[in-house]
Amino acid sequence: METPLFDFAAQKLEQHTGFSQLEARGTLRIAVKSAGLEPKSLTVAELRVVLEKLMPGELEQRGVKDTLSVCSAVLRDLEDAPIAESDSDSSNPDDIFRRLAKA
Amino acid sequence: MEDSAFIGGVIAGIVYLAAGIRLVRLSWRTQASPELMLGLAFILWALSYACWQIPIATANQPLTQPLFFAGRAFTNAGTIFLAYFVWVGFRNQSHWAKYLVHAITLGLLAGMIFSVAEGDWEGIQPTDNPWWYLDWGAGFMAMAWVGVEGLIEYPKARKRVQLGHCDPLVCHRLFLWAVVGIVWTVYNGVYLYQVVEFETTQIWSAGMDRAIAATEAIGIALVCLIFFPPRFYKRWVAGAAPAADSEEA
Repeated sequence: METPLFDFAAQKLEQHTGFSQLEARGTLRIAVKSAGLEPKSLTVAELRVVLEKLMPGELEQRGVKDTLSVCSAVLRDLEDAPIAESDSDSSNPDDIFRRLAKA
Repeated sequence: MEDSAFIGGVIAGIVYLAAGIRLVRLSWRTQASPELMLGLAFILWALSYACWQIPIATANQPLTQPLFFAGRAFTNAGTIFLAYFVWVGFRNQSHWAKYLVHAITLGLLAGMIFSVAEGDWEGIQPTDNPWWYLDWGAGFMAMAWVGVEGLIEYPKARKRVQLGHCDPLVCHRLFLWAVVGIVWTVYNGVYLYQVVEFETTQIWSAGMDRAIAATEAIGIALVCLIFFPPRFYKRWVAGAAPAADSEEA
């Protein structure tokens, strides 16, 4: 089950690219996974990095022309929308293993 | 039993106790369950080492069986907490992981209880007592799970490091965690062989003692690097990794 943040970003990607719902969700899922992240526990900061660094390449591969402006538009939508972040911040492996050595 | 295995057991107990106390203290500050689970696992393992080593050191025959049984119970209880740590730390939203933790818990408890019913209190009669394998198998599964989750998470963490989303030291710690899981799994395999051999020959062989001591020493070294990393080691990891925010920075 993806986070509301993932659903929101996929919906915006669908709007700005003309992708079908399935294509938009699939493309976002591939980009998120190739960043070593999980759609189930995505945070706004993580999604921003995915959209800035990985999504332009993914969109280009799928024939989207102005990839940077599409990503910027999704990022703008993201900033304007009050999306609840996943509550997994304190229980993902990175955070746990960061804390463990600071015991 | 060889001196190397005894000394290895004492050092292991001290390291697990120190790491466990630090983690439980951390859990008081953070109010988070993963560090509490792992801390309790380590403290229980430290107690189990004490129970195994005291009769060996004192050659106290009347206390040997009760203390060996207590050691076995502490080991199993610690392993249950370890499995819960893997669940909450790596798969907290997964149903299958929840069932796996319950299966490990059930296997360890049932294996121990039915072993006792068969008269094998210390867990050293695998050929006469089939329940021993349930106990051992559940523990083996827990250790293997530690390694598998580390091996799955480490490559993902490397990708996150490249995007500046994961500290290189944290990524390296996940790698060490994968290796420690593999080492603990190998330890359990060696332990199986050692116990079967002991039941057959009634001698703790020097070769198996050395193998146990070696896997224990590697495991302890890895636990030290994860929980008490020296500054030079942290600098080396941070220097070898791609540019990203680091604890050492």
